[in-house]
Amino acid sequence: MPKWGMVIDLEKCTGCQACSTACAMENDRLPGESWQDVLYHTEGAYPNVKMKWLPRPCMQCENPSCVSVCPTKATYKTDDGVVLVDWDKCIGCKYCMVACPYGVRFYSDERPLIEPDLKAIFPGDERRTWNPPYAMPEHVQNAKLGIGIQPKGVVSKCTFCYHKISQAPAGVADLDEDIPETKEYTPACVRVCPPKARYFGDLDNPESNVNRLIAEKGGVRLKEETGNKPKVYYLAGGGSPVVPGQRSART
Amino acid sequence: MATYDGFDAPRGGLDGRLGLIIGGVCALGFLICLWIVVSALMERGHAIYNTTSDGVMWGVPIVTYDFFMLLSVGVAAIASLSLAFGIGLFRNVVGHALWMALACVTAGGVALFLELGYPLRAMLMILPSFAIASPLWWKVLFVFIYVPVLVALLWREQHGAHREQDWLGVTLFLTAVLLALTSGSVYGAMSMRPFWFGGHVQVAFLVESAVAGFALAMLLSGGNASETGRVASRFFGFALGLHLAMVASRTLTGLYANLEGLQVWEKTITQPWIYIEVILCIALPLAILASKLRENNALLAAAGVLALIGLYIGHYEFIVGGQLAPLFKGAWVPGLIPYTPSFHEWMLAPLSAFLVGAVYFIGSGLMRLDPVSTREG
Repeated sequence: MPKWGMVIDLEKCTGCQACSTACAMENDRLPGESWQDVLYHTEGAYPNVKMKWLPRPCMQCENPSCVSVCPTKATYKTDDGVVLVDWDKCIGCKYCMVACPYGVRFYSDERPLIEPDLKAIFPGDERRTWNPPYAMPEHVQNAKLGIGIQPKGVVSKCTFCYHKISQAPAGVADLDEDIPETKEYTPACVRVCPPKARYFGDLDNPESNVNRLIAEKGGVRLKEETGNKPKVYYLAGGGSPVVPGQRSART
Repeated sequence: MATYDGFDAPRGGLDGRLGLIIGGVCALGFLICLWIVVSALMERGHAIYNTTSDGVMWGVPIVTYDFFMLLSVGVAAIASLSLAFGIGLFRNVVGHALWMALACVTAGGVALFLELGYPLRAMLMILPSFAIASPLWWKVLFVFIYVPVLVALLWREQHGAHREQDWLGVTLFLTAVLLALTSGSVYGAMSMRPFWFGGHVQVAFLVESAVAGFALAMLLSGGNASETGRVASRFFGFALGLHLAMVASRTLTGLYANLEGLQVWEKTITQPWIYIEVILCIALPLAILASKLRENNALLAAAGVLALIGLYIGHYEFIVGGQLAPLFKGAWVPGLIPYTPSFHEWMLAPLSAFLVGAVYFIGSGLMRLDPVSTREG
């Protein structure tokens, strides 16, 4: 069984948000409900200001706090280490959202994060919060895996495009758009990344590209102090990924 | 009026007609609030609340639920002083305390149900999931023991079968204490939220439930009008003093810390609420309780009510404050997340308070909550 993980090279990332767009199209996300977000922030003060960004998918933690706190086991970890939400079990208590150190989860029944409210334009039904004309094929959507459009009153999150990666040929080390055999199984955000800043593969396979990059370029994980052990690694030129210092600036 | 072994009877529940009138008014208030919230929920869903995925996720509905839960376990623990430990002094207030505990847990449950995405599913699925790693699972387990025990004890009291130091009373005491502790664990176990994190949170919740319990016991037993009320007021003062020490120590520690997330304390002290809480709702009641002013029954009642209001303010600051430091969602905020509860969120507070009033006063008018004298039998 593979242990899927992702590497994001911050020295290559241009902050173009192609990953966010591809994710939204692949997974039928509402505007603002970015399972794969790019977080922008500024550093310094005028006139020496720099704009920075950090792409942030679900970290698919090895020791996920969201799984620990879920009172119905609606949030669970698959055998290949991907954290998913069973919408048939989710009660919408939002404890997982409170417990996630990375803020990657979204509640489906709240004010629109960004206008216009597409839920009002494409109203949903009993099973779905909204019905966009470009929705994922019916047979791919799976409430037990948290794939597709969620019903009202549940929590959703990035699945590492589980509907793709779970179909990958057994034993492959990497899922890469440049490898014809694995192209269709590569997560949407990885597949579309124009500067090829994202890599996806088996962290348990010593031959995988992700393992090589983490070893050679000093891959680091966000918020290690929480003990969640993310499976998303950042390459930041040997340093830490840029986490905005001003966020905690006294205001 | 029935009495119990030499102690004068409590006068907490208003007798007959007056209790029913007040209960009826409260029921009307509850129904109006419920209609306002439920009709809006049916029309616009949980969008009527100002909680969002990129901001504060647990707002006033959770504050209200947690507050009434704390009141319930606090006053139930007071009832168990007689039922579990045989402290006869609190025998007089047992019936009222049990009924008030049931009213409060019901009110908290209603506030929670109006917040959850799938409340009925929660009732059915939480316990069978055996998610023992989650503090919420344990909390629900204890609630599922606590409520039937409350009902059973109340039924027993109604039928004049009061027993002390028996297993049912001990179970009530244990579940009440465990509920207070697990309520604290829900927040205290969150290492990613420094404002909440720490073992002291469980203890703080326990102390707060003691404050609530003794305040309610004092109010329910008529304050100085009964020996029970007089003793309860002394314990109330002691618990309030401990509560003040905990609030002060957490605030000062937070102000000296520079850990990400603890800067909320700096915002807290710029707002008037903490001063209202500490000065008006803790220090002033303490001053009343520590001076001769405690002989005045109206002032004693005011001290109790103020302390309860202070607990609500403290809960709001704690629960919302713990979420004000942004994590990684959306555009990073160079400060704290703004949160203002919506009208419908605020409505849950009077809704729950009216429900407590309705259940308690109508119940005290219709049921025999005062003890049956052993001498009368």
